[in-house]
Amino acid sequence: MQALVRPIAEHDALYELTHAHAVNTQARSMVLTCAEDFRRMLEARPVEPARLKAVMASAAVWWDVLEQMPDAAVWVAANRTIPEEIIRHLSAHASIQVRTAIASNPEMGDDVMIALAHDKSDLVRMRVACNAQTSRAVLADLVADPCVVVSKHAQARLQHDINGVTLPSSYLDEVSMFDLLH
Amino acid sequence: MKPMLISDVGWCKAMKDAFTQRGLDVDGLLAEAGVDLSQAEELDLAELTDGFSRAWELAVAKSGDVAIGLTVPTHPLNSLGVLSHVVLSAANVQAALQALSRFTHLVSPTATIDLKTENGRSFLTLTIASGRRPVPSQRYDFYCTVLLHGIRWVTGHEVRPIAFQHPGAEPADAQRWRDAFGCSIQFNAPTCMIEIDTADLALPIPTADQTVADLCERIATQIAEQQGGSVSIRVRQALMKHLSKGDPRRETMASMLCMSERTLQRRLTEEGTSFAELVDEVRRELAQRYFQHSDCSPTEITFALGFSDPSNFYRACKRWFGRSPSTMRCTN
Repeated sequence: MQALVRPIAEHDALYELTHAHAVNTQARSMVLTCAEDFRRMLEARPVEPARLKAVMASAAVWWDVLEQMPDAAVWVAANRTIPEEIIRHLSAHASIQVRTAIASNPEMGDDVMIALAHDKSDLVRMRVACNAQTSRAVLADLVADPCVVVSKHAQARLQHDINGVTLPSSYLDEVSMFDLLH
Repeated sequence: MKPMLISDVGWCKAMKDAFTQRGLDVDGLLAEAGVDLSQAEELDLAELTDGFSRAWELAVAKSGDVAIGLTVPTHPLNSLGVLSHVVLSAANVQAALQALSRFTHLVSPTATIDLKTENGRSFLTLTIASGRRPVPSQRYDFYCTVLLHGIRWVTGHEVRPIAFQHPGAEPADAQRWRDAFGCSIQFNAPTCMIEIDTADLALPIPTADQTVADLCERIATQIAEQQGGSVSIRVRQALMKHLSKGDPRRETMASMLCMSERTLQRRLTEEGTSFAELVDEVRRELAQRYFQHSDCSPTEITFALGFSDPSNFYRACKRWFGRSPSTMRCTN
């Protein structure tokens, strides 16, 4: 179990830099009261991705959004404040785009991350390999990934820098076009 | 580096997908067009693009549908291959199209895409290498269909171009094209160009992820370098393959790379080299390899390097290695 614990101490600084809440405090304070609020945000021009990713709502409102606007699921998945039950639900979504967005979410639990680390699409697994909050155990799991890039990136993070920020330039030298086909 | 098989290149997979959707026998059709994907590495660009053009002509003939190029791919990402990661992680449409324009040759060796914004208007220009036969309009249809549906798919917005300049002749039922692209279409245009609303270029991509974008861009750049993104590398690769066929000529090389002789000369000058220098370098490298790793006689090496006369090889050998071919043969 210890191995599943995320390297929070190692991630703290990076987390502060990358977390959507920290980036946009104005958007952070926004709270949706109903699904219609989210629709208005989606239909506003220009679209403001930072606000869409940071706006908060109760789980009930998010369920309403998903029910009333199924096409907006990818934007819900991209939101960094959605509760765990929504993350869990969207991690099994039929759309690759939705699962890809969820896999970039730093807030997902370890069991969701493990499931996405075995997703059939390497677009999704790549996100897990690059997610700053991915635990050592999941990275170790990804070392055996059939996609060479995912495997090498996970390996490099384990060997050189768990945050994936200062990786040597040579670790992808042997990667070819085939290694990124999905 | 692993070899690149054309059959694995994204755009070829997308084309096969479109043909399959229309109930065509893909393998039979490609064979009839003279496109042997397992041997595609041996083809020069002109032969390859001509093969694809022929395949589209046959597809039109067999399906009886001149609008077959408007077939929407089963999945927009199928055609992007390596670039699907780059596109999905881009911040917005503009960043995605710019990445596509830099790396198009990774998914389609016969096409280039160029995005330009001038005076507040944005244009996406598509060029397809024409080889020795004209490019059928269905190839333009298909590229533009895939691009438009790709933009719609990654943004979730029903993006419609402002206008489309199409190089093909105006079809009898032009309304099908207007419906497909959702805009006015000017046929018989000198270039293939789509005007996109500049506001649409700013549409965000919900799956954007800067970390993944940086990583994939780095990999794509690396692969592009490996695949020979520069003209001099492409010339060197072509020379390696074709020297044995005889003294290489610049106009032949330009034709093989689907560019004018003048463009070839200019691009090589920009890269700080010349055709003659590259020929000399490649011959020198190959000569060294033949002397070190083969039992070929100097005469055999002379012709393998494309020299028409052994005396020319003799002089080159003295210049490169300070020794005659026979001395080189004895000492290796």
